[in-house]
Amino acid sequence: MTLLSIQEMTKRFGGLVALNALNINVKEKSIHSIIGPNGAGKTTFFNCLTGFYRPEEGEVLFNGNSIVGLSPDRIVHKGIARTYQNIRLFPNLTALENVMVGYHVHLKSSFLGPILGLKSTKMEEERARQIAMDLLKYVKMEGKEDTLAKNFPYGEQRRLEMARALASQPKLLLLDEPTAGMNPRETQDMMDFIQHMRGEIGITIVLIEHQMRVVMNISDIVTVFDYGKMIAEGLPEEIKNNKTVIEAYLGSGDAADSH
Amino acid sequence: MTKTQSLWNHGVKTGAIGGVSVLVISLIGMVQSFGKRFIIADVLPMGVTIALIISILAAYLAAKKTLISEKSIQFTNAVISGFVTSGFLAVFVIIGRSVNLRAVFVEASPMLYNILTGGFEGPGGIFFLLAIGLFCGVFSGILILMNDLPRKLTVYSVATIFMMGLLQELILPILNSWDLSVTNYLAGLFYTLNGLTPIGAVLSVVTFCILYLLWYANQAAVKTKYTNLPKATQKKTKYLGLAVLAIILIFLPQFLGLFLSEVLTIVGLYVLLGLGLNIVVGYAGLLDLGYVAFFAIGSYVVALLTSPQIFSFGFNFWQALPIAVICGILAGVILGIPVLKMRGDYLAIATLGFGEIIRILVLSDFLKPWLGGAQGIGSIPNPNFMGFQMVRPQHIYYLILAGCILVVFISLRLKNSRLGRAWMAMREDEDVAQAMGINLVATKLLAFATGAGFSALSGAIFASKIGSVYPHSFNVFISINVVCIVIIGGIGSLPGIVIGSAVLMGLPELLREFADYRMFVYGVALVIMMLLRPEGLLPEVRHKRELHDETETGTETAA
Amino acid sequence: MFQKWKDRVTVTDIVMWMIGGTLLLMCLWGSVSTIRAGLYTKSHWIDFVIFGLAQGSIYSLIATGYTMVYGVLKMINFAHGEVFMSGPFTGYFVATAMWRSEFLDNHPVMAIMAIFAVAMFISTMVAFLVEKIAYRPLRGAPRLIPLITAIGASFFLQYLFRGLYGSGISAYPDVKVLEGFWMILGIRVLKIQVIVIVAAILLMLVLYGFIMSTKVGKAIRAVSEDKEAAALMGINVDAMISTTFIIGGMAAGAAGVLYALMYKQVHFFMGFIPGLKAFTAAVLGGIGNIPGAMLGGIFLGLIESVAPALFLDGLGIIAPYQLKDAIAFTMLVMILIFRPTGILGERLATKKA
Repeated sequence: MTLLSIQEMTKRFGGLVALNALNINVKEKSIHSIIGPNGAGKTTFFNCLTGFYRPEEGEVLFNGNSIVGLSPDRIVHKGIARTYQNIRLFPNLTALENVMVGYHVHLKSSFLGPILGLKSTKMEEERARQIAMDLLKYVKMEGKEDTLAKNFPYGEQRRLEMARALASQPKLLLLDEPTAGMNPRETQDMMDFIQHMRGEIGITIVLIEHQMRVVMNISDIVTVFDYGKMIAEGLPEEIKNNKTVIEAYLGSGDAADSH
Repeated sequence: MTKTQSLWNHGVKTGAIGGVSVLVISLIGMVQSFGKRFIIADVLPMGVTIALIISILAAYLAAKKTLISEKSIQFTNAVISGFVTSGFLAVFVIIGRSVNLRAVFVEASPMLYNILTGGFEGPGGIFFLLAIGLFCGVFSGILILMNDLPRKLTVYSVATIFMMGLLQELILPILNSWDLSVTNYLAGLFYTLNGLTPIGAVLSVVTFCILYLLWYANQAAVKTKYTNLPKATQKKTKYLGLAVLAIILIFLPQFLGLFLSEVLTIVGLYVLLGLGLNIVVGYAGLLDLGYVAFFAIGSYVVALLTSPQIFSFGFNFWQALPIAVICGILAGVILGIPVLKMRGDYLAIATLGFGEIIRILVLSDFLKPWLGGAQGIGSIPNPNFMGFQMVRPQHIYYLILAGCILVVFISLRLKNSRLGRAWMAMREDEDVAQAMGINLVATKLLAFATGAGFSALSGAIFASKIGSVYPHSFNVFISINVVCIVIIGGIGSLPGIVIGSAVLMGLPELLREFADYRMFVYGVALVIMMLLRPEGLLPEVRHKRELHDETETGTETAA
Repeated sequence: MFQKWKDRVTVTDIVMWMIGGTLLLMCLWGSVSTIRAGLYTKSHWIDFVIFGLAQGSIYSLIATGYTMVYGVLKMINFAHGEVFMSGPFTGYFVATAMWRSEFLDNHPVMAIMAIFAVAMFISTMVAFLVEKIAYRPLRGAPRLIPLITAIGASFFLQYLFRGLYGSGISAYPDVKVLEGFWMILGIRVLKIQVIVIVAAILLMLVLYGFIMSTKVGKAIRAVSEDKEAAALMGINVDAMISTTFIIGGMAAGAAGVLYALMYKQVHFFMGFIPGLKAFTAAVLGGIGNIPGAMLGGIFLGLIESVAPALFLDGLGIIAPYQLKDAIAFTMLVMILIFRPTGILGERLATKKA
């Protein structure tokens, strides 16, 4: 069952072709890794999926509906959430507020509800609060809900960002280098966590990753980018032995391993 | 040699900065204008006090910043700084007395030199000036040498005297209004017609020190006692506080005379404006410099609907008020749409442009048949409340108070709602906010609309208070004033806005000499604030207990 | 199909295009009816154009300062209008002193040079100090903070000079050689306007040459492109930023003297509106782009001078000149909406992730 289907997606910046006629299908409830040397277009790919960039050509079908050209907020409503390579929390909001912002799409109250103190608004707020608290607990940050996001250490900021993304209750979660800058133990925790999310919540995950160990251990399928083109796709073992991939990585292969 | 130089570097440098600062405030006339107003009668004019405070502050900073934290070196640096500061002024006085600087600097008058030299002519004056500089340096040096408690006491005592002198126009009328023998006695004891009496100064310091020491000795005990109280009692104490505040606010105009009530209404109008802009700048992070446009729209709508001058619609104030607010909200949306995609600097400039466009249009002869042109619109009737004409500022005060309470209530409610969170998320990171599913268009427009509505409300009250509207009342300075209030008070903080309005709008009304230097001081304050304390005077406090209490109070008032 | 379209075009887009279209139609309609009614003769239009060029070349000079500072710091130097004001306001005292001693009329070239020197020096100092005191400590702060500081600095400077030199309007002395007309190609033009245009264009050429071909100019351009990379190449970024402010200050000071010679008056608030206009010019030309700012300034000057008569008179609007500032600001907003990159623009006003 295909959740996300990308057909001939092309994105150009001036003369530079950042993404070149990509065809990718993401299966439901899979963990799908995107790898590739630096500058291969992986983050651009995410930006195109989430609506920050508009691809010049091609089609993106999510759950069978086209999402090309929708604004980022509309795309969240369809059920796609993301995290960022360089963590982007709301630094001066508390952990709880950060997660509650993530739940925004499922709330309805607008202007008059909170002012008049309508019962429906209050119940909705209470529900949002409860869900946010549960998510904080899920990412092992209970009891820290009132700390400002900027005051957390790196690892917790990553987890908080994850909780915020989960709060929108997405069908598809895009993770941009979730283990960047983590030590081996933290990396292991993150891997467990990602698998747990897929198993327990049952969402589909597309992740960009540099650490081969992570990719090979948790991915169901791996897609390799180079210069905006897809050069290989397959099971982790197939990719490991793929000649084209090894060639593509030779130049920057050290970088990929040293992470 | 170089080593010793670097040791005294700070003293000389900071002293020079102090010297230039005092020179600047002298040359723009602050020392002179404030020279006629006394902090302590016939002894200490306010202008001189400001100069002294700057010198002392410079010397203190010179000592504080000294690289080696050895007391003697710090002390010497303070003295050097004080001396350098006065040295600058001495050179200035010598030059000024031999060359006529007045052709260029309008304020460089013999009177200024007299003030700076304590009235002594010739070299005696220069020595006096240098001696004062040394005194400032030594004073700061001693401050550095002191322990924490005596230092605090000294600094606060100086501040007390300054404040008592500064606020005499506030305190005296209140004392006089009671007209009891006690208050009259107190008024006579503390104040002359211009400044504190020496006895008053001493008494204020003594009273303050006793109170401060009492608090200092017991603060820890009081705090633990409060936290140990059961939650319900804590809450009751809080309500008690609120009730006292409410009573004070309700009876405030009774103590204040006509003039102070007038000042209070001005402060109140700016609180309303500030609360509105706080939604736009503080919550949503959109720097709007054309905010005055909505104030103008509120005023003009009320003027057009109620005044018989241009059209005779014959509305009364209460019918016109909601229309004015709705027009403000609509204008907020209409002017908001074009700037939706702009950020930061561009937004500021574009909104500034809008404010100017509105003012130019209102001022033009082209729209004169409908808006009255430069002559504005007059004879706006006073509001009538259940058959009662609200003529005096005291009456308008209640109108404004009601407006403020409503607006504070709305602000608090919105802040902890889905919309408020969306605003703050947008302020923190617009792209990520959008990636969380927040519709930037709707969220921004709601911020502009809410802010504009509050501003129009303020404008409507303003129009009926003044009784006439002119395009010149709605220039860009109003916008800048409100931005200053929001930022200096503390972005996003509601108490900050009240304090900001009181300090930035109330104080200048009390010190009429200040009017000329208002924008100068605001400019300095904005720069210094951003350099040293970008979060403002009373920053928004964000922690658990407060959030809880707010939601709980909300629940109860609604139930 | 409709659903697909609805998701992709927002209501605000439609509203904006409607407003833009309406304004464009109004301008066209106004122009046609003005020309058909024959309210102005050919010589009127020529006067408008020459005045517009003179005014616009002053805007251009100020706008280069905005644009260069935006290039290196990515901020709008709100206080630039006050940099512009400070020079000629100080120069006023030199001018009157020389006028009293009759030096101004006996040696006009030297005297005017002296005024330029003083004004440019003061403007440069003000620009340099503002950067050093108000902006330098804030490198890397959130964007709102330097913006607010700049607003603060702007008001501080206005009221500092008001306090120092007085709050009234001071009349610049008349320079006899600049009075009167010249006949150029059979057209009678005011001498001063021609001189302003020529002087401003010469100054801009010098400035442009400096930026494009000297070592310092190249370093400044490198800093505008990428501060970190420039620093790695051994360029002293702070020094280059200061230099940028100094150059901008000199241009603004010179522009200020031209302005004072043309309008014959100075006062403490004189920088505010020209500052906003010059910013508009910089945006018109594409902020960060020096030739763009120059063209933008001239274009804005022309529009301001011609548009009230051309667009508005035909619409039956009384006293259209009162609305010339409104036209300039409307144009600013329209440019920011429809073409934030400006005429020659390379940088975006709205930044996407």
